[in-house]
Amino acid sequence: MRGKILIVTNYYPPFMVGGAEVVAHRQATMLRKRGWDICVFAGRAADDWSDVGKLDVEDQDGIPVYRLSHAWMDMGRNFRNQFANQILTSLLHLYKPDWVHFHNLIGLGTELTAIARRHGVKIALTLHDYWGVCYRGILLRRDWSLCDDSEMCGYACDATVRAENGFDVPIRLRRDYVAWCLSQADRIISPSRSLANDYKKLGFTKEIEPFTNGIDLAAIPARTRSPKAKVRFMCASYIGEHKGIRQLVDALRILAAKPDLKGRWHFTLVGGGYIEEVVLALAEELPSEFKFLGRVPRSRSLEELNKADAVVLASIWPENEPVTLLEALASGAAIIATDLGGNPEIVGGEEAGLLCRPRDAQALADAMEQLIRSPETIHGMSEWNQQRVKSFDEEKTVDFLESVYQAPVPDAAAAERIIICGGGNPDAMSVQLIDAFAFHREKGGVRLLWHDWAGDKAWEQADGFWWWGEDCSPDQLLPALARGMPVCVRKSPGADRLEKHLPVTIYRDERSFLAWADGLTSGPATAKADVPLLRHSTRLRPRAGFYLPC
Amino acid sequence: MLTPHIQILNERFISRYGVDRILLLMARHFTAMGARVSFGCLRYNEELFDKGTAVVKLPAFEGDIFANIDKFMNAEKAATDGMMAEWLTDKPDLILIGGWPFFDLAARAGSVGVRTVFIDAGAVPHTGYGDSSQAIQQELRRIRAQTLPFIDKVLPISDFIRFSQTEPDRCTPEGVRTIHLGADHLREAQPPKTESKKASSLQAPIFENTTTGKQSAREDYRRRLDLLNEFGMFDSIWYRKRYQDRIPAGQDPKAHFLNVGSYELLDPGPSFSAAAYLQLHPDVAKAGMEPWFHYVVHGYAEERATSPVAAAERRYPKFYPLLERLKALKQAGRKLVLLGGRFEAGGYKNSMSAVHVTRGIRDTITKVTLLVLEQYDHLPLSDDIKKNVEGIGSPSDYELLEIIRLVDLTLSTSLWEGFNLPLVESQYEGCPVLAYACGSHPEVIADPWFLCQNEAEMAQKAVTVLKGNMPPIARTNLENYSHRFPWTKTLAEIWEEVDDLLRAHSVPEPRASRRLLFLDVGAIAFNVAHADALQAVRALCANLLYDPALEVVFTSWDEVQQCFTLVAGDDAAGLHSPLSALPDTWVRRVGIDKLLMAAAQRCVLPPVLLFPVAPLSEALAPRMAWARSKGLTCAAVLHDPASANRRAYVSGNAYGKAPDYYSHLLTVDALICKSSAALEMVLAHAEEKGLSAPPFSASVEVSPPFGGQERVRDDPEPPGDEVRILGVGAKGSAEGAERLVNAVDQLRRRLPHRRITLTLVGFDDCDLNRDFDGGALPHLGTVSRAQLQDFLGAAHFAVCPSLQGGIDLFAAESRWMARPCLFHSEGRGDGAYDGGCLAVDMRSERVMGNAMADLIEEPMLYRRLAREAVSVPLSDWASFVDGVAEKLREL
Repeated sequence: MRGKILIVTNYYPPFMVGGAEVVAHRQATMLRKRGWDICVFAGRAADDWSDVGKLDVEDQDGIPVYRLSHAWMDMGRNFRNQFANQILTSLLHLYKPDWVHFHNLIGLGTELTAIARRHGVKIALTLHDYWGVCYRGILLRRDWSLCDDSEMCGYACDATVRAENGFDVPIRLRRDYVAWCLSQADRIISPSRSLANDYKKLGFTKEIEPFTNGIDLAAIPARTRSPKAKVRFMCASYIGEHKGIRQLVDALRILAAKPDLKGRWHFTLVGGGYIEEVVLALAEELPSEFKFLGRVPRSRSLEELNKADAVVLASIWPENEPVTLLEALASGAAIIATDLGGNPEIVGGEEAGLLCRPRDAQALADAMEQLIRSPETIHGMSEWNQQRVKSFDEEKTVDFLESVYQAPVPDAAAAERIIICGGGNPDAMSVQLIDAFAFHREKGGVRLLWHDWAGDKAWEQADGFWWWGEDCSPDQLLPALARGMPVCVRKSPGADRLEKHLPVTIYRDERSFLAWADGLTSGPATAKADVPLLRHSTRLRPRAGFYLPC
Repeated sequence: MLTPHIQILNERFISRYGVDRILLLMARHFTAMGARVSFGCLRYNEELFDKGTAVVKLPAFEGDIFANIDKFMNAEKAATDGMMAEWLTDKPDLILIGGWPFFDLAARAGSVGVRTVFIDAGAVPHTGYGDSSQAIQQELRRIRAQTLPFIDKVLPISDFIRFSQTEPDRCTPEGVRTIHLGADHLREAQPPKTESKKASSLQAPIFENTTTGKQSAREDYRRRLDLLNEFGMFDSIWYRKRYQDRIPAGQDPKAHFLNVGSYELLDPGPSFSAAAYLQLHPDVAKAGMEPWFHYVVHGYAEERATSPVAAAERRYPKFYPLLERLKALKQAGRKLVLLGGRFEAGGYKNSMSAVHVTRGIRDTITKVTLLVLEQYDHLPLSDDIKKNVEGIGSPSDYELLEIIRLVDLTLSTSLWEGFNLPLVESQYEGCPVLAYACGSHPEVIADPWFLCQNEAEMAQKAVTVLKGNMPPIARTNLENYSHRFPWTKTLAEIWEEVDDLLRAHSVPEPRASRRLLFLDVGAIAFNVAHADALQAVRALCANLLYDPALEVVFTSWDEVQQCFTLVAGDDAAGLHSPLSALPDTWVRRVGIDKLLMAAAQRCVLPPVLLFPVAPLSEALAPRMAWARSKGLTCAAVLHDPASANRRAYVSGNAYGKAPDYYSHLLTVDALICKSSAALEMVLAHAEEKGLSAPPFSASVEVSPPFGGQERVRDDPEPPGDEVRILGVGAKGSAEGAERLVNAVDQLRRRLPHRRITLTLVGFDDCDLNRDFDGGALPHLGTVSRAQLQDFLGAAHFAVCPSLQGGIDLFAAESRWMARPCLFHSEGRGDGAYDGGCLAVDMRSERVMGNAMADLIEEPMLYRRLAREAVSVPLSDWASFVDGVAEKLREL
């Protein structure tokens, strides 16, 4: 064997939700074929709460696949999963992998990266969506508008997330925690430049290497489309708002309203999702032009793809590198996609397909109408795409992955600056300070980590500790003091008492707090005090109770 | 190091289980690696050791130490004192501790050159403990947190312990390495042998017995002990409970049985009744043999029944009824499930959970039996499950091994484990173990599939295993488990760490250690002649005490005993009061040797003897010799060499000794001078004489005034009609004081329109009883610093008529209070030239008087000097002490 790789992904065939797990599966299979020792730790959507935490293991094509049921929809639990942590720990000790390659982690939790880092194993991470900087993963706000400022989560989406101990933690801290966890990776790969750039824009400081996930050309039947009197469109997609299904349905209605196009087109929609009633209504309305197949096996989906002249993707979120578009390329279909995210990188230019304005049913209808009225263009696009798809051959992707696994791990870039914070449910002043701090700092400059989530690696890297509680006692500050970290506490009687004996900074208002935080994080990492603080802290160490969680 | 001496310390060495077993295995390995191993403990079972093994047994504590928090806390100190006392005659190179009560000792050991290793098995959760036990467990956590930062290497037995306890307590990952324990020790357990072999030792002692001795009662005892162990018929838990009113407190139950119980026909365990045996076999009673002894020597081979039931049913033809019974159960088609580890219904062991899981299994597999390592009668079982649970007591290692091989499944329902030896023992023998996903289980489980998150899942998976449907991948990983935790690897890794420490030529770089600092206050504390130096010493005494990196001990030289002795008192206040000698009653002398051995906790750096004022050569030599004999690093503070270098200002006696003084001073390990000029002077002397400079030399610039008090920043008004002069001087400056008084007398006559007053402070030992201004001269002698500050604040200016001592200090103090100061132009006092002072030839009353007159009559001059006094930069005592402390830390 050439080396051991543990692949961690929140889903893995046959349990699938999107394209990321297909990528993880393909890469696992191909790497194994090339002589790598592969083990997979995957997740699976729990059937119900009693199912959460259940672990199965099976041999899948010679690859051991461990599957853990998780609560992927619960945003308070899907980024931290103690049981997943235990399973990963066990696999690290059992398989002793050289690399752990993480894919989507929603449900399994991002603490896995910190655990792998602590274990000393090398880490690769493939980004598949915006989950590292947006807890909704798709950069769409609750009103489905596109988010352009990740500091606005608390205003545009949810203000808080419920932590394990019942505290309502500002959503920004969840975002910072997830981003910090992901930044633990040695190599971060993004299938699209668009996603990589967006992560940078949204404050992610770690280097991200763009490289396509690739597509298995052999698995996709290819043919050159010839001009036909009736153009067949096809879309394979999750049936949800973010996929632009409503706009697609509207576009089809626009087409259907044009009598001169009658009988010249047909649209097949494949997939399942929570707004199926919208497409079912359309299917009843346009029985001869529109067909909804629901969820079908991949083979059936590929059959439909092979029949189609053009593939449509109406997504309103900035997709990364949609598998459906890669498959369209490989099959030789023309493409119509929204001009958003990584779609333009796949479409490439007018030779391959048409890009249209997102959220614009008319634009989408116009694009389809263009192909209906000029079916000869489909032929050109088909030929072009079959040539172009070679650059997306997943063999090249696996070559790239092998080069990653075989190259020395790059020197750790300057770690992200961290301030660990805590103090119970933050009151209005503290929430205001959190916001003020976020807007005050340079984007991506400093992460705020909730103290209960910060593992030993975070404590090790942290620049300072901020306690916003209305009062404080030595034992609350001990984890920081014992590590010699600068500590900032809110003005209170307890803080005044502590200040006489301990090196703590007291803040009274926004200005004094920001001054402390600036001083802490603007220059090189503050040297940790050692002897005096350590002595203080050990002297103060109380008789501590230590109980099992209920 | 030819034969390193490693001492292994643990509360007890009484069984072949748990930490005892781990440490004994390590001892054997260390011995094989060429080390000399000794032990220290509170209690031990001598059968575990060879006669030649050195075991230090510390004095037993009265009563149950775990029932009294005060006793528990004192045990650490007592253990330190006890072991340190032993070390006076046989000090180890390294100690390896298993935990309480040796944390304190391990934290201190570095200060006497003993390296330290702690095998961290973690502190258990406090869930389920009663109040007193809980207080003890909490105290244990506190002790860990206080001491772990100062132990050279801490080796947690799992990553779980490392990240949940070791590193949080130690506050750093440095010196921490996870070393998993081994799993393959049970195979050392030997099966019973035939009678012809019974005379030999059945279980090899931990160390080969290299000594031979004649047959004795002791050896008979040993043989009986071996036989008792071999047959596994003794159940210590059962015996202690059954005969608790007959076993003296603290006595080992097995020893009680062999010495007393056996002859009184007490039963060794639940499976052997002495009375029944005698009743069945009257010939045994006639022969006068102990029933159990007869059985193992004769009865077993003769297939004699051990009880009427056994005789009637012939169910237990062999002695091992437990194994036979379990085999019978299995042959009857029952699935056997073992609960790993001891049974504890409450607390983290969570043993009742196994009963609940068994109930869940029974829903599918009715013929299931849970085997529990406890007497059946002690199990809190409801009626519905009693038939599915068997209490199997405390089997021997061999029996346990056979049971593990026999059962179909092991459960580990503990909610916290630092490693979980029962779990790895079972898996090593190929027995699947289902365990909750917590503690160290993820690290030691054969496959993640065996981890469960609740009883329902555990019951479900148990059924899967018992029905033979274990996932193939999990089965394969279980089959390969025997390669994962070999003791050879564990011991080799521990040896690597131990050897690494033993090979270190110096004490390892401290992470956050403190230094024991012996401060020689004798020369100065009782002699206030050197006012400047005195202030410096007092500042050092006052402030070094609170330096976190130093553990300061005041000492003074005993001329009679020719050694340093400890100066101690109710508090150290006297040592930083200004210009005063210490009262004799304050002082008592304590031998310092023991103190040196029992250095303050966490003082890992080599101790230092600091001369805050470098003694003269004849005094320095014996002090240095003594310190060197104790392995102390010697450091000295040289305040100013000028007095020894300028013939005009020192007595001929002192001057003549100056070169000798320097030469002796150069022999210290570290020389800290109070100014760079002083350092240059000494080093120039070394060069001139061809002597070596001290390995460490540095200067700490100082002009320390009233530390802690706000500096006066307002310019004082020039003198008006009333002029207040403050004269300050050191002990023995009588001539200077005399000249000052005369000069002021003359000044009063010269400026009759002014009302000039003079106040003298200091000038101890000076006879200044003379008339002044129609009354007695206001000579106040020694005053407090607060008073001195008040006097300076009230004065228009200060005059220091001394030709030698205290100028720097007084000039600084005067300027701190924004008062111009007059000082001797050719004396020391480099700092005084910075501004705010007038340099005057203090040998001349006339010149002195002129200078004072100028200050009084020339407001511009006064204002300029006052302005300078306010603005000149001055360091404070804290900066001086910080400077010295920093130099001391650098040593």
